[in-house]
Amino acid sequence: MKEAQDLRTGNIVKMGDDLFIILKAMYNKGSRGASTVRMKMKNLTTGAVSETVYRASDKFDNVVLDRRKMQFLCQNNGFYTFMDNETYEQMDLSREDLGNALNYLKEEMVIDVILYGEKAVGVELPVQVEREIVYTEPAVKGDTSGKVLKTARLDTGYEVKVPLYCIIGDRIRIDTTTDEFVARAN
Amino acid sequence: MTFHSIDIFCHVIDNFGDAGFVYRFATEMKLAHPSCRIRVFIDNVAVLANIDHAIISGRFMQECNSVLFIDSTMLDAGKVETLGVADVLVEALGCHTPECYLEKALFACPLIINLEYLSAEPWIEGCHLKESLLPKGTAKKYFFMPGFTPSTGGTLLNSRVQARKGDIVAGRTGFLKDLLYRSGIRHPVSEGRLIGTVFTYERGFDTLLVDVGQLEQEVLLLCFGQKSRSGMEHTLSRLEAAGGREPVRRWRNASIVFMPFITQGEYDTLLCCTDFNLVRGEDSLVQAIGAGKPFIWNAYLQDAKYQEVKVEALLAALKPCFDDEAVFAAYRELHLLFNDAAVEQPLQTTGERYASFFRDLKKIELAIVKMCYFIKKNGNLVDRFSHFIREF
Repeated sequence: MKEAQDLRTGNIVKMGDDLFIILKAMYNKGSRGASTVRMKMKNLTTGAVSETVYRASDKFDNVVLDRRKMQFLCQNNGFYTFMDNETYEQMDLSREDLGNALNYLKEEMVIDVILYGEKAVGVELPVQVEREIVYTEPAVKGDTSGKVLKTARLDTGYEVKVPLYCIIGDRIRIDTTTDEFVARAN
Repeated sequence: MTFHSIDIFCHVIDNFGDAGFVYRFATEMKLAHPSCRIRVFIDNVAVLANIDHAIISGRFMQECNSVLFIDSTMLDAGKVETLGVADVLVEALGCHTPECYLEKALFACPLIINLEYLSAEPWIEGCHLKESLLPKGTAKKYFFMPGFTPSTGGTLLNSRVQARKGDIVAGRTGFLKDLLYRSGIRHPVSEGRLIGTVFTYERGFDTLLVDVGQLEQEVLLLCFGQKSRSGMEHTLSRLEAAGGREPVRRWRNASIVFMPFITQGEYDTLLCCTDFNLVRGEDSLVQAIGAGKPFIWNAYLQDAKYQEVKVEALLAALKPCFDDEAVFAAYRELHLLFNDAAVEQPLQTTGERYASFFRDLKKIELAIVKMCYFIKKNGNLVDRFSHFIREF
């Protein structure tokens, strides 16, 4: 069993007789521990995509499907191509299939591709990824507490909040479940 | 859908906020739908007894204001069979419905609603009225998110107090005299005194009393709840304020009155009769805005001071109501410092100063009156909730 707050892009859960892949999961902290997780999930049988909300403590039967380490090659006409570096087999996934993973996906990145039968249905991000800051405003002198945050654009184009002391060129680790800055990697 | 019955489940985590909100929700729903059977299943009836003195702790089931209150700790499959389930099941404030009820409700209740805490944070709009897929059964479950904007579930005000607010404010001296008299407290409530309520979580009040001591007029602080009392006593001790006799203490120009617990209706009325209010939790925050009086909100302390995010979101919602940017800036700073406490050290005195708050009382009052207008315009929670069920 997994709690909703631990689910992330690429996880598979079972609801009744159906399997769902998590495309997006966004954790929101509520009062007195009553936090919620907003999710976009796809029914692997029907293909229907639902926008849902769960309490962070709601429990799910998680299912582990086959997966293969594949390298992201390129994007073409809305499809994203991944290749198995051992067999050179290629598989395509749509933008929707990738969900939140798109925020951190970069060419040549090796990632777990989830298979349902023979078909690729999504990817699973690692809990943390390392990315480079390509743009952020300069730090304000004097504030090094790490409590105040500013926006930083990553090399994937996605924007996250980082402490004021982060600068352009920094490689940073980000929690892919919450999109939160974890630490500087360099 | 047409609905004839609503069951509301509530788990009391601590304090009075959860029970107070659910009590208010149930009684307001009953006022709006007199023919609908409304039952509240709560796991701490004793807390409710503080909020409405007609409720008696220890009973499995009792009726108050035409709402049935049931002690959920005594619930079992046999009792659920006898009581049946409702057309609508409300899981209030993240409450988990007991298995014996939920197993039946998943197949017999058409609609389950997870009624959440109020927040001013933007993300709640994205969760409001979103479905939560259930693993079994025929019921459908949705999230209902109270908030300040038109895209949320709105706010829950005391409708009786709102309907009589003009009269309440006009008769404030009489109400205050009567309240103190009934509480067994002999203290003058003459016009010209600055009157405030203090109902907060654990914290110190050193700077509040020091800044109150700088005012030229007499000040009356009505202090509610054990947590405020404890904080105030620590402060009085630190300031070596030895004046007065229980339950009234004296510090320079201020009288601090330790009040007994009053009912929810009395507290809501009192908020309209003062010059300012220090309030805690989401439900009191809404009533403080509804009162149209200057207030300072003490948010529930959370790990890593996450309450500051909630306070910032509230301030962002309040900002458009202020005409004077400098007044808002000072009010914002006071709020942020007031809530700059850690869960581990709640009794600390934070560094906030109140001089600008007392200087700007009239301007802040004008802003809160505007906010009151906006929250009424943006949505009544009972109306929105009822509309959602009808449209389901």
